[in-house]
Formats: sequence, structure tokens, C-alpha cells
Amino acid sequence: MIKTKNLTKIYKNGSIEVKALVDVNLHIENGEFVAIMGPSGSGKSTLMNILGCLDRVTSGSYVLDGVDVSTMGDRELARIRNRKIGFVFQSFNLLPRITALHNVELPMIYSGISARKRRKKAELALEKVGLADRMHHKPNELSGGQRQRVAIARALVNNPAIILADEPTGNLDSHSGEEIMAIFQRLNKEGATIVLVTHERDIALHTRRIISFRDGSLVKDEPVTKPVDAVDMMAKLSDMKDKHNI
Amino acid sequence: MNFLESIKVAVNCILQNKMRSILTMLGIIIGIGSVVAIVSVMQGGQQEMNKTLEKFGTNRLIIQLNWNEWDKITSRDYLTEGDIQAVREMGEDIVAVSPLINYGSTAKVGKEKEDLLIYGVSPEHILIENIEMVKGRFINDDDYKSKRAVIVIDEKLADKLFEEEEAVGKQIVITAGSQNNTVTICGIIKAQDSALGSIMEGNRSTVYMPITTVNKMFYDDYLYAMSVKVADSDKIDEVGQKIIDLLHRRHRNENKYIMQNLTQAIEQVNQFTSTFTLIIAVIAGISLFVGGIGIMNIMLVSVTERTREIGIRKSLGANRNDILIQFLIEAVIISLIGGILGMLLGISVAYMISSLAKWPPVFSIGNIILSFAITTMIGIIFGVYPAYKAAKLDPIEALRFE
Repeated sequence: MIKTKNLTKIYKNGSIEVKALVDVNLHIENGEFVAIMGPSGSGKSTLMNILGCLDRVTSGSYVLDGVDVSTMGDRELARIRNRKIGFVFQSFNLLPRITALHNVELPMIYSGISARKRRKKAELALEKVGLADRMHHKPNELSGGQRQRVAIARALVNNPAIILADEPTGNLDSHSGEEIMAIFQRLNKEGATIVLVTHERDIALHTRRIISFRDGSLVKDEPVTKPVDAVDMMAKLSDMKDKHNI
Repeated sequence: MNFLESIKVAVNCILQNKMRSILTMLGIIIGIGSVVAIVSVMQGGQQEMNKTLEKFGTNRLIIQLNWNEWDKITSRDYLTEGDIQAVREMGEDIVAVSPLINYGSTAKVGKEKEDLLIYGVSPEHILIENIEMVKGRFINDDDYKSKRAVIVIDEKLADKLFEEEEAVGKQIVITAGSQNNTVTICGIIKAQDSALGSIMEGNRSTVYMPITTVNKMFYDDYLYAMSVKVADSDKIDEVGQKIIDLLHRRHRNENKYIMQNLTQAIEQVNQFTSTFTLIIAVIAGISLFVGGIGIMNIMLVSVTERTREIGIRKSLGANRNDILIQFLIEAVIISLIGGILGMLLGISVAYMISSLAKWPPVFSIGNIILSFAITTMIGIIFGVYPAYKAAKLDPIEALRFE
């Protein structure tokens, strides 16, 4: 599914070279739920951008879904992003002036799907994240958790090969965060491949594999033997809240 | 991306920034508006001139005494019946010749009063001017020789004076100086509407009488002018000059006669029109250029404001072309709306000018299509740079933009 070989990314800023990623060899299979961890400056954002086909490698190769994308041009990369990748960002990145439904339709506009089919698929995706009754709201009429769910629906809607989530719970309170993780866990159980970038170990423990980066290199790759169940966590959190209120 | 979708996004964006969009369009509105207004009024004027030309009679010229040097004119320079005959016998270049004189007068029937412009002519005049008889007859040789008190009036005047009644055979009283003369209507001609003509004739009704009768009424025996119809309009100046030379030979004088024909006047008007059109085109061009710069400016602002949106769209799979087309369409739509508003403005201004000028404006489909084409071009030309700037934004940078 994702296969990188000696993936290296070097930024040139005048005469200064910054090695953001050095010889990364990564292998993620279909149906995995992986967390990529590391402190800031570890190269995890750069990796995210490359895996998301927003950026190109300096050297090495990146094969996504059986296709080598490291040599592709802008136009083809845009197509790959559209068909094979679903992004979920920390700051949601919804268009503010259009409804949730229209936001979810956006990727399909660029894949040339007819208006009626677009609408139907967008409605289904929103139902899947539990927002059937909020379709016609604009982002500023939704809570943070709801906005992130719209973003997940948007990421799902084109049936991508992978979902890339960059700190998806970073702007949310812990309860909404658990809600989002619960959705990810459910999607993963249904077969979705999810790569999640985070610097919070609590969040990473919801996944089934944690890959750690430091100074642009892959330093640790460990399975999570007993992932945290987000639904249980939500129950615990509301218990705690109740106790404090009393 | 879907073309329709781009249009929707663009329209939404323009609606969200109404004030800003209208201000941006102002240059285009004024540019297109002034062109549409001026061009349609001018075309109306030109159409009006053609009508006047038709009424005057094509291939027609008037030879008259050179009143520019009136102090040098003596009685031996005046035209004679012999001159008319000599011109008539000049050859096949000449179709018809008639002496010509005109006086302002008033017609009275009972209490009705109308201002007149009396043309004293010979029966041949009907061959020179485009006159269409509706009823009765034009003045004839007997009227001319016997100086009969007969008059030919047009339908409009007949309606005014007699309403439903039969006007031919009726008598009217016309004034000549302080005297009143009773004349009989012998024929009615079709009225010709021409705004330019009515300005020239001061809203008076044109009537025709035998020049012999008119001279008797106004106590004047001299001929000052003749009206000539030539066979070939291309040779009108040449023939006119020949006539003038002939007259000078006959009267043994020089520089006493001049010719007047509408082609000269039309040439002058056309020259004025084209100069004026050029000036307007330059002003409109400047206005449209400034309008285009305005569009470019606002599009650059829009691209900056929407950097994050561009990043989001790119992350979702929009390629450079999708973004380029989206912003280009927005620029074209702003320009086109400006063009449409400009056209509406131009049309209303044209009607306002025309109500003062007394002729209707002419709006041609060609001009409207041209206006649309020009505004579309402006949108593309001035929208392409901002759109290109948007298209080549780096998605990662754009997504980071606050």
C-alpha cells in the first residue's frame, strides 16, 4: 500500500541545506491504522506532505497503491490526491462560506462526478460520521468536533486508498478528540487504511502501530498490543465529568 | 473542474463582496456605457441624415448667388429665365432644372394658423426633389405661365387645417409681408418625417407654389437660385462647376455663383463623426484599460484573501488548470457584469440625449456583441495574471497561510 525506499527530503534555503528526512524505509499495508510520532522538527510533517503527494521527494522512491508517485508531475499528483488520498487536518480546513454538504462534495467536483451523484455520496458520507441532521449548516454553525467530522466525511467520500490525518485532535477538547478517534477506529475496522500524525502518545495509543521519528530518521517501529478503545474512553470521561459536577 | 461549478463559485464570491465588485466594475461600466451611448446616438443621427438626403433628392445641387460677397453683387449678376434654359440645354448630364426661391409665411384657415416655408419652383421641380403626390396634382405649366394662385401642401398640414375634410380645392389665406393672399390647394404630397429636416426648416410646413406667383406676391422679379438634378451623382461636382462656368460666361463676371449639394455637407458630417468616434474610442479605451487594472487589482486581493481556500482545493485534488480557470472565470464575470451594466447605462443615456436631439438612437446587434466580446477580452487579459498567481501557489504554503 505505502512503500518508501531510502526516501530523503532536503530543503535548500540559500546555501543552507536542511535534511528533513533521511533514508526513510517505510512499509504500511492495506487496512493498517498507524500513528507517526515525533517531536517538532522530527520530520513527521514533511513525511505527511510527501505521503499526501503535496510535496516531492529529493531522492528515493515512494510507491502508493502500486504506483510510483515520486516521479510524477503536478497534474498527475493532483489526480492522485483526488482519487487516492483523504486529508484530515488539525485546523479542519473547511471552506467557510459553503454548507457541510457542499464541503464534502468538493473532492468529487474535481473528479468530474455528476451533481446528483455527488450529492448522494456526500449525504451518505455525512451520515456515516453522524451528521445527517447538520448537512446544511455552514462550518461556523458547527462545533469543533462536528467540523472535524465533516472533514472526515470529505476525506472518505472518494474512497481513498489511505486517510492521512495530521494532528486531527489537536484543536479539540478531549471528549471531541475521543469522538474523532472512535470514528477512525470504526472506519479502520471497516477496512480503511489510516495514517495519523500526532505528538500525543495518548492519541497514538488508539492506533495499532506507532512509528517514531527523530531528526528526520525513523527511530522506532512498534506494534500497539492493546489499543485504547475510544468508545470506552468516552464513557470514562463522562463518568469523571459527572463525579466532578457532584 | 466543472465549468458550471466555477461560475457558481465566482458568482457567489462576487455577491459576497457586492460593494467592492461594483466599484471594480465602474471603469468598465463607464467605458462601455459611453461607447454604447455615443455610438447609438451617432448611428441614429446618420440614419436621420440619410432620410434628409433622400428628401432633398439625390443627385441634386443648388446653384445660387455667392452671398458671401453680397456687397459686390449687382443686378446684372441675377439669374434669368435664359440662364435656366441654357442650363437645361447643356446636355445629357442635366436631368431637370428649376428656379428656386423660398419665403417664410403663415397660412390661415378660419382661426387655424400655421407657419409655412414657401418654395417658389417651376413644374419641373417634381423631377428634382423626391415628391410623392397623394392627392390632386403638382403645379403645372399653366399655373406657372398664368401666375395662378395655387399651392401644394403636405398631408400633415392638410390634416391640421382641415382635419377630416377634403383639402384639395379648398382655399387658404397666406401672408406676404402685410398682405393677405387667397390661394387654392391644388395637390397634397406625402409628408416626410425627418428630424434634421425639421431643425433646418424650423418646424414649419413646406409648401410649393409657382415661382412666378410667389414673385408677384412678394414683389420681387429676380431669380437668385436654381435647383438642378444631374444624371450621375459621381459627377455632381464636375457638372456643378460646368454650370457655374456657363453662368459666369453668360453674365461676363466671375466668382458670383456657388453650388451647394448635400454630398459636401455629408462629407463634413462624416468627417466630424469619425473624428468624434475616434475621440470617444480613445476615452473609452482609457476607461476600459483603467477598469481592467481595477479588475486585476481586485483579483490579486481576492487571490491573497483566498490563499487558504486555494490550498484546500489543491489538497482535495484541484490541479493548476482548475484553479486558473476558476479565477479567470471570476474575472470575466466581473467584467461581463460591468459590461452589461454599462450597456444598460449607455442605452438610457442614449435615449436621454436623443430626446434632446429629436432623433431616435439606433442599437445594432453587432455593437452589443462587440461590447460583450470586448468585456470578455478585458476579463481574460487582466484576469490571467492573478489567476496564474493563484494556480502556481504551493499547496503546503497555501494551507499554512493565516
